[in-house]
Amino acid sequence: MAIKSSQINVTDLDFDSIATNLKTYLQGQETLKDYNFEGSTLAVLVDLLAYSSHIGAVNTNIAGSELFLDSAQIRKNVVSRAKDLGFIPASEKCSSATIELAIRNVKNADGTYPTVSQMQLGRGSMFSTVYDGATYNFVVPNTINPTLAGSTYTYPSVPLVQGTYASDQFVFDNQTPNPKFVLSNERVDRSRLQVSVNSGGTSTTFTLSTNISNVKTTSAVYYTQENEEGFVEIYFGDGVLGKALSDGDIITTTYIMVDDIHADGAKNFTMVNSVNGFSDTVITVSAKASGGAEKESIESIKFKATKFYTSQNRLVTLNDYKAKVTEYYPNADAVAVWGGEETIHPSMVKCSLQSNH
Amino acid sequence: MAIQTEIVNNAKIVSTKEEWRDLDLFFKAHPITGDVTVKTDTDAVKRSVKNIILTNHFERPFKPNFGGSVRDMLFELNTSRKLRKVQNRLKETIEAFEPRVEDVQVILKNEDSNELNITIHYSIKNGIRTQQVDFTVTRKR
Repeated sequence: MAIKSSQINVTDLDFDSIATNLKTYLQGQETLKDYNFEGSTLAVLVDLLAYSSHIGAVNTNIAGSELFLDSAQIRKNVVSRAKDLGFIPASEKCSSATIELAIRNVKNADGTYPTVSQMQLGRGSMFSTVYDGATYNFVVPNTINPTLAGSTYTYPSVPLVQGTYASDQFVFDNQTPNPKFVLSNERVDRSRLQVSVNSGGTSTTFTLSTNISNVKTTSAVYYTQENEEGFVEIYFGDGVLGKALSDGDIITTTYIMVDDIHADGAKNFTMVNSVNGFSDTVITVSAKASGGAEKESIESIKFKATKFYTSQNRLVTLNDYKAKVTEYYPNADAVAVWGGEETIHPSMVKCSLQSNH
Repeated sequence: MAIQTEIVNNAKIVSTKEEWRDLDLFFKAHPITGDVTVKTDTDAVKRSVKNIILTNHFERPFKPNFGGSVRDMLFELNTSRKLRKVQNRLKETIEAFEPRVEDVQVILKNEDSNELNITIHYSIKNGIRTQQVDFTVTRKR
């Protein structure tokens, strides 16, 4: 007599348990009896059914887990769940340093001095450093003008960032629904991303939208997020929340590709190229390289997204401050915040950061 | 259905033997009933032995070591050492996965270099002795 289907244990979802349950069920019939012998055709069918059920159960389990921020394991799903809470995970950050650069003995062959614009330290100018036996490249993120004293041109504060400059161009097509533009490199420091749009010959610099309440219909803002493959993608307003682009507009993005290894701690830099043909340089390091970081980890996203959602971009409670500080300094290992009522100076909020470097 | 051996004189049952019943792997329809055909007794065991031999390792889910995996050996060197290896593997596999048989003997004939004739002799425990399975594994083209 066949056993009732209600007697099959449906909660066992691993392969062996499912196969055992099927065999137990088959014990209740007389037509086919070879299910216990591994070589039998019936055993093949039992294995196939158990395999199919097991895979279905695993898929259902994974799908169920990935639906929630707490239990999701796959990065793209964690990022997507965090996005529901309005939280954008931090990207890789390049290591940065500050130097003072002086170029000496600058004089043209005819005895004149080059103009300041001729001696500009252009964006993308390369420096290199040797740290822990390896050579790393740094670039200047913005064009810098020097000051002239005699035959020495001084660049008092030159920021250097580790990595390589890259640029991508896209053409806006208004026939494409919901257009998003994916940068061609994966390791991009999103905080140093520059976006400009050339519309009918007029170039406009777009800024990253960080606070939607300030965005108007004509605001030149772009939005950014991490896509499913882990690449950075940008998109623009729809004419209501930010300026909409027109068909044929050319979007230019420039950014820093972050190196795999961060040269945090490097403090000896040399200029790779010359400036206007002059290369007698003296470099003084104001701040050694620091701040290099990988993209935000899954655990960090899970932790911060909920805090970010709780604070709702306010700065009222201690946790609000904690969330905001971690948003600005994503690489901080620990953040401590305490209110003015706990100090001798009421009305002040104090924050303390523990860097991971 | 059980086969019952009876002593005719006093109609007393002295032993019963369970009949083995398995589906035919080819799933052909029975010419009269239209149902899927069923292999019984020695045919069921023979089909089982053949299934074991022709199954490759990692073919059965979650049972990576199940099967004789003879196809893996098709492009091996044609040496007596390799043939002995196949012989031993098949014998051990049948003994491990088919508890209904004993006295397994594997004979390999390698007359053509592109194929392998396999003959397996075995006895069914408490049943008919000296059964035989013959088949050839060959490359498809």
